[in-house]
Amino acid sequence: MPRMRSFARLAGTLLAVLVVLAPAWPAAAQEAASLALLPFENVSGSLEAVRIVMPLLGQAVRDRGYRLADPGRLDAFLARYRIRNTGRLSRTHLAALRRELGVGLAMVGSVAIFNDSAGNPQWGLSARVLAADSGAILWAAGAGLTGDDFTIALGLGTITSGPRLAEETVKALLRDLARAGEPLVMPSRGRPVLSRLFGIKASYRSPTLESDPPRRVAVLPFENLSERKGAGRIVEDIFTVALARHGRFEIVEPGAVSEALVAIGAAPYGNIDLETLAALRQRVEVDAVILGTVLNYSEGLKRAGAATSPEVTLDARMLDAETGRIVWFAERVLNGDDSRIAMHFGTIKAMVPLVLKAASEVLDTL
Amino acid sequence: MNAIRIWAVLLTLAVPAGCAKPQHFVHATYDFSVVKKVAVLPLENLTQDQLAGERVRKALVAELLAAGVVEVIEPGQVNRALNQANIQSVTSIGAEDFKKLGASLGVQAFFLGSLDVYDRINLGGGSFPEVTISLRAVDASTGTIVWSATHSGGGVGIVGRLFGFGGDSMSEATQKTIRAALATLFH
Repeated sequence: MPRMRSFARLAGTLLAVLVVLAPAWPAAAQEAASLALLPFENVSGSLEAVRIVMPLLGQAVRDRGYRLADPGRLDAFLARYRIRNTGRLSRTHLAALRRELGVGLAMVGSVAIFNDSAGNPQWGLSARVLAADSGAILWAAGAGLTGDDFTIALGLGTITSGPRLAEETVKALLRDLARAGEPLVMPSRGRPVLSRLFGIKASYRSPTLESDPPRRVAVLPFENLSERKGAGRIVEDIFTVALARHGRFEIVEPGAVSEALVAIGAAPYGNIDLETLAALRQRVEVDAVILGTVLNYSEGLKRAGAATSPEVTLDARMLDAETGRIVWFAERVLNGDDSRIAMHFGTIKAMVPLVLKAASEVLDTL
Repeated sequence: MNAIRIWAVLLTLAVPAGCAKPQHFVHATYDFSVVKKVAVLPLENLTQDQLAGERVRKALVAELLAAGVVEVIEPGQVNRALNQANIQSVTSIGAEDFKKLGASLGVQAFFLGSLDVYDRINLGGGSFPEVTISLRAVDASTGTIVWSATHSGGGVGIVGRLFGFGGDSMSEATQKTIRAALATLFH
């Protein structure tokens, strides 16, 4: 009889717990599957770019089972909080987005290039999915294509329409974005054996990276010493993608870094002083920061005639956030033709994949 | 006679622009072992390319780090120290300034200099980089020049002259020029 009573008490407790938690489970699941797709920041210089690409991104994300936040409510939210730079989100804005629109995820990104040439159009995109509650970068990717990438032989297969190429670029960008409800993971690239043997070496690598490796890292604005306007911002975004996919560090969302820098009242650009570094370390709790310079950025576009190969030269260095010491420095010069195997095979024709490759190879030395 | 002429032409072509050794000076009595930490000051840019000075400065920082002999201060910290000391131009830094800057940054020496040529030359249908830099190291406590080197790099070799291809990118030419200049110090 007492055994029956204790069993009934246990069953009652379980039932009460279920009654309390039951409504929360579907809500949590719904929140995890709901996503705010923010307008991509346009660094391409083409006014049309975002208008073409956003509906395609929206449809592709919906096709993966995500419930998109109502665009009208999102626009009102952006206006209310005066968010102009939609390519990155601060912790404060992410929390407000979650609270007011009930979303668990936010996708931010940028259009690096849209060259609407009938001869050889080119697109370049980068994107990140952020957790609305923690601000963590859950997924990141970059993709770029040219019309020539689809040429089989004798000009056959070439895509000459910008909007048509946008569809393919969005498809490439979201290739490994998990379906709603599945864990957002990025396939780890790993360092290829050949790259380990013959790849580039870091100019400098401190032994402290072995003994006391950083855990949490922030990427600061890249200095642009190239002739392409906005190249610093593009490379910073793509470098963040490469670092996130590198998988070795916890990356601070650039929006959180910007928020901290505004609060500190500093605008480091390719360089940083120790005072700003110490204040940044305190605010975003980083062990190290990465700074860099874009020395050359050529998208391989010609005003008339055929396009040439894209080219990029960048350097990056890591500073220990506590001591301000440079613990790593690497540089990469990369041309689209460098990876050519034979004829046009292996050539990288689009800018974003080239920058992504350069950033990944630089990070391999870290 | 014709054969002699051909050899003369080939020998002339075979002299690439950047093969000369750097002209350099190393202080005979200075104890370089006391230099553990250095700062790279902005370079004086004597070229048309307004951004070239900063490009070469970054490359110099990279090459100094790569040498693995000294620690290099973050350039942002150096810029801040220059601003705080109200130094607008590196050409006007005196011995007393070096002393103060050295103390505030905790460095024993400064690297500075000028970028004299930073351009691409068109030759034989090809385009080739040309870089000339003058670098010097100054002891922070006395303001004395303890090392200096001038070096030209890039240019074009015989293959480039004959066929109009080959040669380095601007970054590679810069890197090689700085490395060759620094080799006279770290050899």
